[in-house]
Amino acid sequence: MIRYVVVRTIRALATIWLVWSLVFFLSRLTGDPVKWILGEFATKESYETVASSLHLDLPLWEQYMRTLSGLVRGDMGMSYYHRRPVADLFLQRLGPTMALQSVVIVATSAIGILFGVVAAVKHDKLVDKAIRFFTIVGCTIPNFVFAVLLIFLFCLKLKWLPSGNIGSFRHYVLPFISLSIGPIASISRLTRSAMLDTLSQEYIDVARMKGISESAVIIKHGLRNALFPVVTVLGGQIVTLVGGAFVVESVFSLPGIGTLSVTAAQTRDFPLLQYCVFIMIATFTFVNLLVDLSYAALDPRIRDGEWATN
Amino acid sequence: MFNAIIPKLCRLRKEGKLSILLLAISFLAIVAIAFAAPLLFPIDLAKVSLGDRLANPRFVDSDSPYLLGTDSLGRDILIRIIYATRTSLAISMTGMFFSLVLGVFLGAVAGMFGGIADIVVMFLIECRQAIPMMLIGIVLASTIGPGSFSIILTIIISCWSGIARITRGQVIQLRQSKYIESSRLFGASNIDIIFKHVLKNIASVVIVEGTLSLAGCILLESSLSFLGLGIQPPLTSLGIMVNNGRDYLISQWWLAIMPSLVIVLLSLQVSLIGDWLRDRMDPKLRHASGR
Repeated sequence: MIRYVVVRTIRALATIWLVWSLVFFLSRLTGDPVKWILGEFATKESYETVASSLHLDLPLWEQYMRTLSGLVRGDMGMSYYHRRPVADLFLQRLGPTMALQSVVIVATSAIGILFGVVAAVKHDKLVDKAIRFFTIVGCTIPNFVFAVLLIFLFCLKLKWLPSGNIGSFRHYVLPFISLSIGPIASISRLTRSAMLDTLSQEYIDVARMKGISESAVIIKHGLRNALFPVVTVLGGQIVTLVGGAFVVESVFSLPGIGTLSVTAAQTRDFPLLQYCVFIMIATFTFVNLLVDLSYAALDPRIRDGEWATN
Repeated sequence: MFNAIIPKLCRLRKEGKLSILLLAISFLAIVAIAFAAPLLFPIDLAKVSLGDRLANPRFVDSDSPYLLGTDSLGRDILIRIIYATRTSLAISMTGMFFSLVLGVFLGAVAGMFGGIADIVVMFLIECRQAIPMMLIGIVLASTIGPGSFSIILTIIISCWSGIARITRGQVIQLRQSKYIESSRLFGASNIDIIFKHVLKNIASVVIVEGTLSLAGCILLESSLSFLGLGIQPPLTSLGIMVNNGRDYLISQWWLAIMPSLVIVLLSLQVSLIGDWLRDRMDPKLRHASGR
């Protein structure tokens, strides 16, 4: 088990490093930030002053080593535009994104699993058919279309809810709905098929025969076993959710991490972009690592055959 | 003629094939119309006529010459939707094709040779899955400039990993089967085995996976162009039309809603066809999708 933990942790760190470096070099290809800061008609002297103050006159390799050593020391650098530490800017924008994402992650898992279990228990009944219809529709409609439809209906026609910016919780209702429908659909679809698998096993019949109440059979024997594949996918869902946040934050003009990274990429604010990417990748990899480790702790087959099939 | 067709249709309905037939025909019709657009409606997409701007569609004003009205630059919405569908389909199909090729290649190499190749491919899959697709799209659009090429590249980079994972699993299962072992005993090389046996056997799984990921590609393309990270004017795509129409939601709601409906229709058709193919080709998965 210790060997498994060490191998997995090293791989997670390698993932973070590789993606971070890729973004470093790719974003350097996008253009010269000094031209963006000074405009087209800058004199040569002012150009050189700005370039050297931002260390952009150094060879690419040296820039990379500087940034990497800064990353290791915990010094993430200053934003080119705001002249403030990037971590400050990031923290400032973290509120709306965290408020939205945390609710979305908890609510989509809870609602998705609930829908999946109900659909599997009421297999082929009307409820099951309704949930199946909902999952098909939910998986095929992109979140920005939901966002536009919701704004049309609730902001413009019914005038119940505001369409953008932040403030009270009412500002979060529409972003929440447009962000959650897709994940709820895919989680409930997965839970449903895992539950159907589990409920057709023989030990479920045995449990019923022992006279355990139906709800205990479903929750204790069915759901606990069906949750394994669902939990693995939940880690990946977080990546999808944050990807969706880029779109949804921009539609509802929420000043969050999504909009911050889009502007950072557009204005060639390399330190800021890199910091955003670093935090995101680190979060995903860490979550996936936790999922994998807890999985291995619960199921010895996984830690023994690490490179076997899927 | 109808007398011959109707009993046939009834039989298909009984076998549960009528709906999938209609679905496939309607999807193919949309594809055909979209790709024949330059022949059917030879217009200049950049041409504007400000005199006709924001004309009402026929369901609002029955005298209107435009079935779905015109946009803020006086261009016919229906024709623009057809051209937009063409761009969206062309981009997502190209992206899907190349990601399929890349995914099958890497998955087959990892599954067939194992060892270092397998570790590297699995590591790359893991890296890819730690990055949100939107982030790839944003970085690529700002690196090589927004356009069809950046979106196709984004789709390839985003979609290969799922296909590679599935191919790898299939190949590992196949590699342990008896007939592969016996052809190896007869002296077949790895390359021979990959082309003669493995690829033929995983074809059905790959087709299903490709169809299902095409639906994802359509959604990814429209999301990226919605954010302005894709095709640039005068060309248009469904996501751009939704984004442009957003400003007119109060007065001319159809400008945003009509292209949205086309996106939903396309991805619904493709994923239903994909689900049906999966049920047909892999009986093991049949109950998983709800039959």
